[in-house]
Formats: sequence, structure tokens, C-alpha cells
Amino acid sequence: MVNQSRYVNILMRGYCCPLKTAIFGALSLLMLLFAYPLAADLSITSYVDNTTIGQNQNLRLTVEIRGEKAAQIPQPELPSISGFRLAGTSSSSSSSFSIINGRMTSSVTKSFIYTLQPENAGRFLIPPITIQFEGETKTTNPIRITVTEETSQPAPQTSRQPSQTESDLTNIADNLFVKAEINKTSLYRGEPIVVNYRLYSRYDLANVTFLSEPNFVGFWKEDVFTASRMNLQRTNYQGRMFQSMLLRSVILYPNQSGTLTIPSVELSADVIVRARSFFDFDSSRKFNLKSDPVRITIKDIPTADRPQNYTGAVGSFNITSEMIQSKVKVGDTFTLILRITGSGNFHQLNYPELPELPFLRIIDPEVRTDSRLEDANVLGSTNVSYPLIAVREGDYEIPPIHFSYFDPNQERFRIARTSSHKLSIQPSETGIVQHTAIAQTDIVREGTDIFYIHSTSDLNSHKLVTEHFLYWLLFFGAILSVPASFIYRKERDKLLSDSGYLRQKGARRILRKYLKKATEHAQKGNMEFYSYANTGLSNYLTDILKIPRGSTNETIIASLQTNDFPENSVQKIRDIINRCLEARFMPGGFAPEKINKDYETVKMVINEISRIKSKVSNKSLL
Amino acid sequence: MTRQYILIFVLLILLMPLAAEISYQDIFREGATHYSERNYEEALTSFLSIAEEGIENAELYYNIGNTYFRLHQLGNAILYYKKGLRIRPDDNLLIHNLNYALTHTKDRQQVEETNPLVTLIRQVIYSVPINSLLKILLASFFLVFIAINVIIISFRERERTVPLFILSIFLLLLLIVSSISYYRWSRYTDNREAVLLSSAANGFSGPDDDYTNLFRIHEGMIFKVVNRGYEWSQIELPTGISGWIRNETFALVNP
Repeated sequence: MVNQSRYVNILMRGYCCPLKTAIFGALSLLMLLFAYPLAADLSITSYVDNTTIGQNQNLRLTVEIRGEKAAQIPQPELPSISGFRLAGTSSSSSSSFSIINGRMTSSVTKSFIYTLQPENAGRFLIPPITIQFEGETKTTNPIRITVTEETSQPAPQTSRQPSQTESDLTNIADNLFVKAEINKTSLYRGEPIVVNYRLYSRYDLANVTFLSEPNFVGFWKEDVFTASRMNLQRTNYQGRMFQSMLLRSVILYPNQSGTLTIPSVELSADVIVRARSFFDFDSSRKFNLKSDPVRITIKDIPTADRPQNYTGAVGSFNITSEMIQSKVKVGDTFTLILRITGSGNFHQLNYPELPELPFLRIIDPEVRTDSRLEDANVLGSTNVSYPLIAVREGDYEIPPIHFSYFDPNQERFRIARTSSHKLSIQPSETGIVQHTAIAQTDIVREGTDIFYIHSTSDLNSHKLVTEHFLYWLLFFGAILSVPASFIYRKERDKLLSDSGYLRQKGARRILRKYLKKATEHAQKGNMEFYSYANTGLSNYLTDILKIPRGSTNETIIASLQTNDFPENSVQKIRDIINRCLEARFMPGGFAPEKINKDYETVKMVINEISRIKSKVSNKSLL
Repeated sequence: MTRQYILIFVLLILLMPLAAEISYQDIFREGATHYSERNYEEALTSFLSIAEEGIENAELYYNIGNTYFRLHQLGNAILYYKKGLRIRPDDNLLIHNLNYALTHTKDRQQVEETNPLVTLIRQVIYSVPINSLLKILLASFFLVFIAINVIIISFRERERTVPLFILSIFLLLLLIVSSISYYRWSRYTDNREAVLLSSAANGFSGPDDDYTNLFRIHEGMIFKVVNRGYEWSQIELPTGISGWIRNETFALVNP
């Protein structure tokens, strides 16, 4: 496209210089020799340099023939034009040659220029011009011309002289403007309308910039195209030849009824002003342009006959459904696809919902909507993929799905429907209904902040346990337990290894046992007293002296003496032992009074022994 | 009569801390209400009045830190989060908020630990509150000494192999627990960590402005005080750079 437009540019400048044209023509012809003929399409247009002229001005009518074989076309017969006189003819031809995507295209443009002189003022019509070529008849559009009585300024002559000087920049509004082009002025709410903002110019433009973003009130807007670079094309507009360029294209969906205004765009354009003399430079002048706002009427969707499930679709639609599987097992996941195609407000319609079916679990569908612009029609498609899980076995039918929409062309509601589907659900093999995982998305952290405060607290002040003396005391206690158990162990070891020590320890207990019995007998005045007293005493003494039990009294006495018992105590012990022996060997020789007396003596002796023992034991026994 | 008065007096002294604590709870709740109503100034006054009474509580410090953060006092916020973490180093809320606050400081100082082993060890070390750890230490100490005593009392020298083996396991446990405790205790009692509170401070090579300017740190920087002086203190930054800054520019985490 870049190539082409550049070519057009070069071509147009070529008009002003015959030498250039000649060279160019020769070059083009050379190229044409190699050009591969693709199509024999011919197009014919006719245009004038100005539709309003003064009586003293000449009108230049150009008939342009474009195509492969344009060069072969003979000069067309000009029909008689009322109100005008033919003043002269000329012709020129140019050819362009370009390679787009590796394909060579060449075209020849032949222009026949008729200079017409108005005869009187009034409104005239240049009739269609017809050419016949290879059996085909081509016709141009008629052009309306107004011839005024006064002498108007000569208009810039874009067709022949695309450059302009300062003096040409007078009738700006007529030769440089922006238009909002729409294909209908009355539509229904929700019905899409395509607005093309187009720039028309008969001047050379250097730069075009948007000044402000139009504010589309009452519409939902979808941007389709915004021009990012200059792309001027020759266009015939109301019988005159312009260079035009699509600036912006939007699709509007009116969302309120009444009269709405399509807002204007504002832009600034730099018009190149040609140097007046050879020594001068080209300059440019900036013009601010604004398109006229366009009013359109929006009608409300009628409420009468509105279907119950109507959800706001306006246009012309078709609905199909597709189910890939017709035999599934319980627990299987499969997909039902609803496809809405056609033209209309795809972005605003709600897709029909699948009815609740007891044998299926319906999961939220995935919806994909595409729309595109084709010849000022908004075409599109909405795909709704319902993931379904078979729940119950059996043969079922998925009923047809209805989709109602409003057709603005026929001005009535219509209903599109899908065909029904047969579905056979078989028992699951495993017997376990498995819910296949649905597409899941990860939760995304959207922001960070500090966490919230604590609303309550025990407010206990933190203190180390080491601040408490008990903590250290427990440590100290644990350490102290070692020597304690060491001592305990030693003590027990001594008991276990030394039986004499044990006997010494147990002696008093044994003595007490015997004395208890002896006391019982003594109180009764019984002779048995002596027997117990004797045994108790001798056992006690043998234990504390660590001599074998059953030693004779003599041995005991001797041992007492060797263990440094005082002599008088030894004497007392010997006496009482003897008395006991006497009593044993002479039964009945003792009166009860005597028994009591002897009991007292025994007690006294034992007390004395234990007293002495504690003294002596400290010395030697232990 | 005198005895009765003494009894009442003693009772009053015993009940005083209880009464005081109840009023702290009220102030705390009042502060929380102010915070929820976005009256951060009032909330701060309430929370600080409890802290000034000598209550060292991680939740209280957390709330104070949050309030300071909302008041855009980053240095104080970080200081109080650090105070809270000193008591409860495993508190997730404190860790999160401190890390978040640290992303707002001018100086980059967040050291992300990448080695998973180190992270795991840190988690193990900090998972138990310090008081529980000290109790575990006491318990393991007891375990060892009970084992020693049992060995002394109940086993003859030739039978002691197995018990001594068990004892050595206990000793190993004691060693581990005591070394962790020592580490935690030294971190707890460490009084060198400090946070910069003024918006910026210059570090000099000596305790005066005349010395060479070594570095410039900004509010919220955490560093170690190496040498405390009357007006100036020598500090050491995490990067190892050392210098002297004015005492009024920073506050110690554990004063």
C-alpha cells in the first residue's frame, strides 16, 4: 500500500511537468512489457474541478479510465451538454506498477480532459458518459453543476495541479473538510451503526493530527480503526475529485432511545504551500477542521409481541448447537457448544442458558465472542461451551435451545432454535462418580499491606523464667541430688556387705520383741518371764557384740569385758542372766513378787546397756 | 485494731495489680477502637500509655507498630515490630508486617534467606517461646540428673553400660537444648540492636560533625550499637560499615 500511495503521489506531481511525464510514461511502458496481465477490469469515473463556477469561468471535466487496457480506449464521445460549449480537449495517460506480496500489478490511467465554457447561469447536469470496450458498457455518474452570474474566485485545480500557492487557499471549507459518514439515520436501540470519519482534501497535506477525543454520549462504542499514518486515496466525491483518507472508524451501539448526536472529530491539518518563486521554499499552513455533528433517531425495541426469553439481541442471528459425544458414561465430562452467528450487537447480547436437566450437571460455560466489520455490517459469532457432567444413566434428549432476537430490517421479533440432541448415558465402569477437574485459576495477590491489629490481648508482661529464684533452686537441687544419692548408695552397700552391722541395727528391735512377751508374763507372775528375758537379753547382747547367736553366757560376759563395758554393768548383767538360768532350772522357786522385782532389774539393765552401748559403739563397734 | 488495718492494707496490695490490669485491658480496647475508626493519633496515645507502664507484651508492641506505620512513622513502626519479635520471634503477623515495613525504607536492608536449610534451622530455633525453651532446658537437666542418680543408686559398676549410654543421649539432648537456649537468651538480652528514627542521619568517622562523613542512612535502618557514648554512639551497619551517629537519632530495641 505504501508503494501504491507513493506512486499515486509521484503520478500526480508528474502532471505538472511534461518532461517528467514523458520519461515516466516511457518507463511505465517498459515496465508494462514485463507486467503479467492479471485482470482486464476497467473503471471509469468522471469529475469536474468545481461544481460551482462563475459565468466567466471554464469548467474542466475529466473522464478517467483506469485498467490494464486503458491505453487502448479511444476518446469517448461526449454527449451534448446543455448550457455548455466544448472549448477544447486534451488527454494524458500514466501507468503505475507495483509489487504487493510478490504479485505484480500494473494499471494504466488514461484521462480525457474537456474544457467546457458555460453559456449562461443556472443549474445544469452533466449526463453520464458511456464507453464501450470489448463488449462491455461502462457508465459514469451524472454531475450537477451550478453556474453563478458573478465571477467567483478561480478554484484550486487539484486534478491538474495538486500543489497550491497562498492565493489558492481561499475557499478552504469547500476543498478541505472532514465528514462523519453513516449508512443509516434511523435505527433501533442496540442496533450497531458504523461511523467512518473521512478527511477530504484537494490540497497537498503534510500532516494530520487529532485534536480531541469525541465524546460518544448515549452509545456503547467499539473502536475499529484509527489512522496512524497518512494514506490518501483519490476519491470522487459529489462529482469532484478529492484525496480522501479514512481517519477513524467506530461501531456505535445506541443504549438510549430518542435523537442522538454522533459527535464531531476535531483535527488539524498542515497544507503544503508551494514556493512562489524559484528561490523560495515550500511552507505549510495549519488548518483546524471539525466534522459536522450528525443526528440520528433511535427507536425503542417494541414491547408488543416481545418473547419472554428476549435478552436484548438486535440484528439477524442464527443459532446452532454441537455435541461431539452422544454416548457417555456416568461421571464423564463432555461439552455442548452453542454457536450464535450473524450480524448485530454481539457484545451486548446475553447467550441463551441451558435449561436445568436432571440427568446432567451443568458447569459455568466458557464464552468467546468475536466480531468484525464487513461492508458496514457488524458480523460476529458467540461461542458458548457448556461443560456437562453426566449424572444419571439412561437415554435422554437435550431439548432445542431457543434464542430470540429483534430483526430491525423486518421490524419484528424472531426466534432461532437449535436442533435437539440424543444422549445415551451408560453406567460408569468404576461405579464411582468422578468429577473431572474444571479449569481452575490460581488466586493472585492483588495488593500488600500490614496485617490488622490485635483487638484483645492478655497484656501479660513478658518476663524470663530465669528471673524467678525457684528456677535456679531447681537446678541447684538437681546438682545436690548427686552427692545425696551417692551417700545413700554407700550406706546401703555397707548394710549389704556387713551382716554384723545389720544385726547391730536390728538388735534393739529383737530385744523389744522378747521384752514385750516377757512383760506380759511378768504381769501375770508367770515363770515364762525368765525364759523370754534370758533369750531376749542374750540375743541382744550377741547382736551388739557381733558374736554368734547361741554363744554361752560365759562367752557373752567375756566379750562384754573385752569391749570395755564397765565392770559394775557387766556384773549386773551376769547377775540377771544367772537369776534367769536359776529360774529356768528351778521351776517354782520364785514367788510372783520376786518376778516383778526381777522385771524391774531387767529393765534397768537394758537401759544401762543401751546407754553404754551408744558410748562404746562410737569408740569401737562401728 | 492495728492488726485489722494491716490485713486490709495487705489485701489491697494483693488486689492492686489485678485492678491495674483490668484498666490496661480497657485502655487497650479503647486503642483498638480508635484504630478501627482510623483515629491513629488517639490509638497511639492509648497503646503507648500501657507500654509506658512497663508492660512488655508482643501483641501490644505489634499494635503500636501498626499504628506508627499508619501514621507514616516508619522508624518507630520498625522499632516496635522488632520489640515484639524480641519477645516472640516466631510471630507470623510481626514477621510479615516488619518485612512489609522494611520494603518502605529508603535503604535496602531486607536480607532474604535463600538457603532452605538455614530457614529450617531458624524455624526450629525460633519455634518455641524462650520461656518454654528455658523450661525444657530445666527438664532436660533434670532428666540427666535423674539418670545419674538412678545409675548411682540402682546399678552395680559392671551393669552400668546400657544406662550410661542412655545417660549420654540425655547429655547430648541437654547440650543441644542448652546451646539453643544460650543463643536465644543472648539474642533476647542483646541490648545493642537499634533502629534509626530520624528521617536521615550521617555517620562520621568520629564522635563529632567535624570528622569525615562515612555514610548516610535513612529512617527505619536497623543496626548494631557497638560503643555507646554520652552524645554519640559508634554503630555498625549490616553491611559491616561502622561509624558514629548522634544518640537522639535512634532508639534501642531493648533499652
